[in-house]
Amino acid sequence: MITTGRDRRVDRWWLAGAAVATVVALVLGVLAPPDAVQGGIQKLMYVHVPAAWSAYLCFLSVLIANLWGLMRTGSGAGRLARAAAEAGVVLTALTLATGSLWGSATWGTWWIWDARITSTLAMGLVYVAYLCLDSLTSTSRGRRLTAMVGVVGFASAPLVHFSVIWWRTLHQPATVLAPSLSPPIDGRMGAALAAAVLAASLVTSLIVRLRHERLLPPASSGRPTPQGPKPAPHRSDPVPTVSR
Amino acid sequence: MTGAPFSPRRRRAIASTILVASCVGLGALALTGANESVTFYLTPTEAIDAGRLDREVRVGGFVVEGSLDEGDSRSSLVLSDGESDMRVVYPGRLPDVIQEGQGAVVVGSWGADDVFLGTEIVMRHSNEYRAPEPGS
Repeated sequence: MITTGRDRRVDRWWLAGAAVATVVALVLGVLAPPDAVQGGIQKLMYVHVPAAWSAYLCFLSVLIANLWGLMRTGSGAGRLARAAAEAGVVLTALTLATGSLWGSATWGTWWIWDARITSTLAMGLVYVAYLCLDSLTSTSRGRRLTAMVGVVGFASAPLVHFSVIWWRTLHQPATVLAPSLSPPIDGRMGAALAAAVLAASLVTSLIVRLRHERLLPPASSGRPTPQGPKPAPHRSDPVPTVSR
Repeated sequence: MTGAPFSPRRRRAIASTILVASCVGLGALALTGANESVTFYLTPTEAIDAGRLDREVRVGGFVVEGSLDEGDSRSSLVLSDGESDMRVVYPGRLPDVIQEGQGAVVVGSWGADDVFLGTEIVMRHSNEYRAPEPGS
């Protein structure tokens, strides 16, 4: 991995921040009361909601990086988009898995084809397709096509978020990210949720950052490598990378 | 995620397969999943207005307080949207998740005597989260 001393310091501070936020979220999550209707299983919220939120963040990064890449050819923004899309797909899967577990306990079903769940699965598939396309394209034309898919694909994120408002769903509407000044949630649960969302955002951005560094080709990083360890073998692309 | 164990040719084959599979999946969701999820459930008022249909429908509402009547081979409850009430009969004990005053979505069809025969029932919870009352 090619990193400068400054990057290392940033990584360390980032890691420290993510660790502190995670510990705070865990403590607040344990201390928060169980839900009156759903019981203890409602604590899955502190994983499910941050995972979904972080997936949105990742896909927003894919959008921004690709827009940047389309405007500045050769900026290498495609690699950042790839790192973010990979994390986003994993987080979408985590959202569906925790949602399924939560649904089985409170709804009485593991899976149901309502608009929220269907659109979440569709969003995941959009970015799986995006990642495959990214692996398959190596020409600058192909890269532009991939970038455009990464831009247009972001339409799936608002579709997921607003599905609970636009259509009737088994999934309940949003509690916090909704146009209401007093979210209908116990203060202690709200605090745990806020801490968990912050922790997940920090952990996700750190992972995307580290993954992006691994995707950088050894020679063209443009950063000095004074005494860092030997560059990792170029791992992401079997085909020579021209300009992403 | 990294290419180490696969040859470039193999990698391309895998990526192409997954690409096609996810596009087919998206197409299937757009055609069938989306179609079904857009009108995910009818309200009791809509279900009563629609009358007898030759297919199963989903009806969503809240379980009226005091209407739950559980038995080993037959249970019943009243589902309401605040405007219309409908009696739902379910073969067997209701799943534990069903509670009075909470939402429920029932799959089924109309039987005789304006009774709705449920085959599946799930809970629909609100977006409110609160601590249990002290002593409960």
